[in-house]
Amino acid sequence: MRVGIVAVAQNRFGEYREWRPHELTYLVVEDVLKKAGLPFRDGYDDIVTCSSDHWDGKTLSDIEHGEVAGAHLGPGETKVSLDGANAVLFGCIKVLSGHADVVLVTAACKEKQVMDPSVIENFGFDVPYHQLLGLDFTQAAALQATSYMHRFGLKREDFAEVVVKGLRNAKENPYLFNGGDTTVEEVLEAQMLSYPITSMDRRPFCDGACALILAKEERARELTDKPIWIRGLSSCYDHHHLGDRDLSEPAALFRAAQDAYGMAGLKAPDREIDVVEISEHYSYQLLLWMEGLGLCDSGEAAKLLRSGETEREGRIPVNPSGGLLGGVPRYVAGANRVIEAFYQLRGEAEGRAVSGEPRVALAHGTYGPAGQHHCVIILERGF
Amino acid sequence: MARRVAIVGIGQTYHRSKRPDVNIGELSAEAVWAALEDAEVSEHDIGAYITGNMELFEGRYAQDMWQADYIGAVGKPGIRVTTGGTTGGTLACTAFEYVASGLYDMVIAVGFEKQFEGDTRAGLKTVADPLWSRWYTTGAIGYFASQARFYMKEAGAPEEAGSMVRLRLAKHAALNPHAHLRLDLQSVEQIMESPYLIPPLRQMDMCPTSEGACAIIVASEEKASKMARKPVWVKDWISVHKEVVYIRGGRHSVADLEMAAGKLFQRNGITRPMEEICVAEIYGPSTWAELEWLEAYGFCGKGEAWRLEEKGHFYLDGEFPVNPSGGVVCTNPIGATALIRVAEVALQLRGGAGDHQIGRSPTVGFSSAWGGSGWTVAHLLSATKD
Amino acid sequence: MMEKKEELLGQERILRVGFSWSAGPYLGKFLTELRDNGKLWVVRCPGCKRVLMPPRIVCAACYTRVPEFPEGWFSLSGKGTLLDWERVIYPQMDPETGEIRPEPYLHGVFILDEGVNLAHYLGPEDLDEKRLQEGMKVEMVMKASKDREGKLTDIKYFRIMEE
Repeated sequence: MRVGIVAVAQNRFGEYREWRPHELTYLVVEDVLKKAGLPFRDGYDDIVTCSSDHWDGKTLSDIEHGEVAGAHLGPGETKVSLDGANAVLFGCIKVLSGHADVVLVTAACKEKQVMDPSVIENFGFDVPYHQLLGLDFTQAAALQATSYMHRFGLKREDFAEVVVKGLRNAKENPYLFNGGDTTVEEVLEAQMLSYPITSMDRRPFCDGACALILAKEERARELTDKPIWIRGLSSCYDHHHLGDRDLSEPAALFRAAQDAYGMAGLKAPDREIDVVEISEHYSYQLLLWMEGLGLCDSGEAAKLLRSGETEREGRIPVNPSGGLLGGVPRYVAGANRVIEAFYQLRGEAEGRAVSGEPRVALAHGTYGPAGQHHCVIILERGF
Repeated sequence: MARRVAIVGIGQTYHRSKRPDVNIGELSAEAVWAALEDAEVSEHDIGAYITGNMELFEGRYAQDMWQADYIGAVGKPGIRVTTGGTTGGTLACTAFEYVASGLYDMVIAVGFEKQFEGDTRAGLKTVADPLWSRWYTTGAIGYFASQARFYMKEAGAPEEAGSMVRLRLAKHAALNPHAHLRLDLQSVEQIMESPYLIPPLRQMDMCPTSEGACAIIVASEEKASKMARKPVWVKDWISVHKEVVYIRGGRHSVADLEMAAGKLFQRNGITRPMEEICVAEIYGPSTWAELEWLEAYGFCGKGEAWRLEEKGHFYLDGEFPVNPSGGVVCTNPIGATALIRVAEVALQLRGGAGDHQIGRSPTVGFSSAWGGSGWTVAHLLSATKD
Repeated sequence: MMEKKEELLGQERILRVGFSWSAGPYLGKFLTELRDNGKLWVVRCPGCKRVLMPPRIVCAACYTRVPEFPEGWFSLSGKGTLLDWERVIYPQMDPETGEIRPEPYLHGVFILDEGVNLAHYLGPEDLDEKRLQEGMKVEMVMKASKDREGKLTDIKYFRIMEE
């Protein structure tokens, strides 16, 4: 039995001083239900939300997000407090389990309302061990970036190139605000956050929400002529202590990807996947995750990027959407990757479509210090 | 259901008010190892790890990340679900769905809380909307004081009713080595001397904050049938939520409890729950809540629960044993509490509850979880596959 | 011979994270009116006609989207009856300051004349709890205009209306 995504919605990410987090969720829920032609509450059997109590500043942030998604005396609701791709994964599992035929998945985060994001991230490190070093995710990423650079002789310019291409792609994406033309020099001269990561090498913090409707095969076919099947899914944890890992080796991503490929029946992913949407919270991650996904050999991603093969007209388009560097909030990130992949497969990625008729897409999400947890979802066109 | 699933391993820590001897990872690991040993499997057999707790508590962030090494999730798929007080119940549902999906043959669900490491009351106060009632909120205590006042009024119950429940739970907990509060309480009068928190709610009426963890291993029908110990079959599960509670006080709605149990029973052909179900581990954050909610679930009529309690109906050796483990009022590590309900029912159904085992071989059990803005998660377990 | 007990190490921290929460157009209007005019503004759900306090974007019961001010909005008299009250004895922290509130103090739940409930302090401080009875008429007492901040605490308390 296959599970299909039948409709998606997201708002244009940015700063939303005028709305509360759950109001952003409501706007995309209203939109996705209209697109799917489903009524509130009675149109679906279960709800999976993704939000963070820490970022909402509220214990049980899912009370509000669930309420506007129709959870009141209706379908149950479960909050996944990991990157949004995992909410899509779990929604799919719920349908496969037979316990639900149609699932509404939402993800929302208002990063701009948090004054001290580094404090929150810092408390994600093992207390009383390396939390005291004052680490936040940017610093952990910096350690990973330097480790990666040293191992393969990469330069900051290789990462800056990712930013240039990403922001250029983001220009055409109506959902992203950070698109524009920039140069390698501009990226290198930007404010240094934690070597080698500058402010331009990091995904900008912003607000936004997104929603998806997942349905079991027969129901999906009733709801849309253009279902997108979920053919493979998996996730994987790496060690927590940075010292327990070889940071230049994305082992957890490799495992998750292999599992997902196996499920989807893909033997040579670098040739069988038509479009890839990766969660690059930092520029170096685009390259490192490409290698973890097996799109090229270790250390070769920078070369692949420079070759032009990852452009929209290239052999293996990577982040034709503009990626997270174009401006996507955390938690929403992985779900947004799934949505961008969905648009590409449906031929609805206005302004940013890859050439040809893509059949198979990969969406990826990650969370935790230096990508400790990864989630990979393989999608296939169902028409 | 795509495929049948069963609980094949159960583990929990010896719950206490403080466990300064372990850190959070070690606490969870204790429950995980106990479950693995109970199921006679190793972590190599576990296909996925499902974790959860009160997301904001213990002043930590992304707890699943540093916990991964301790519980064996490194190199494995895993997910974190956090639904407040119902977390443990949701962990069980998630585990059931993971295995029923056909993607994983065996998974483990782990819930924990190490409440003395954080400020529980502060954590609970932040449930309240920061721009509405947060300035005012008295957290769980205020909620349950109000609930007690209304139950007394509407059920015509004497103030002793709460203490009667407390006595039963104390007697049960005395026989459960894992329980946190194992007080030597002998009479209702003794309990009535417990000081008030907010009248009529007394200190002894309310659940404690505990440090502990619980884990269950869920397997597919095929795997479970081949295992040495008798599996406990999962019949069904349900989750019902409600809108934000903006106004605390007055009569709190129990619509979630009624709907969850109502649908669960109806889909499983249960029309006389107190007769057709052999044992119940219900989530009762206070003694009074147990009374009101036994009625809301439909086990007995409105206003009847305290009268049945008075008759000893819900005791271990009574007509309808409720919370033979001692319940939430005796043990409450929030992220694990609801999972402990599932674990304890499973123990009863396979005859493994030791001193607090129900005599007659129970065949069908009910477990419930409560939290959020009045959310209920409930499960039906069975000793037989059909 | 005395055995040396092994010291159990632990560490302490205070977690301080700043937030800037938006009130949004619904709750925002409510709080602005409370601050500027000392009035409670609520909205009636266009679907099921429930009075929504605080005003919100969607009615969870009937799933109708709620219009922003002024369609369907009206202000309350601030009068009602006493439904329930409690004497808070157990020490409570004020979430805004982190300080422990002096106790005991009285909370009340009031059924406002227009059919919604509100919970707030019962005052004044010398109110004799023993006088309280369900059904007594109550009215809202606001803080002085200069002391209002656009929060629910702009209401000082509710008091029993003398016959």
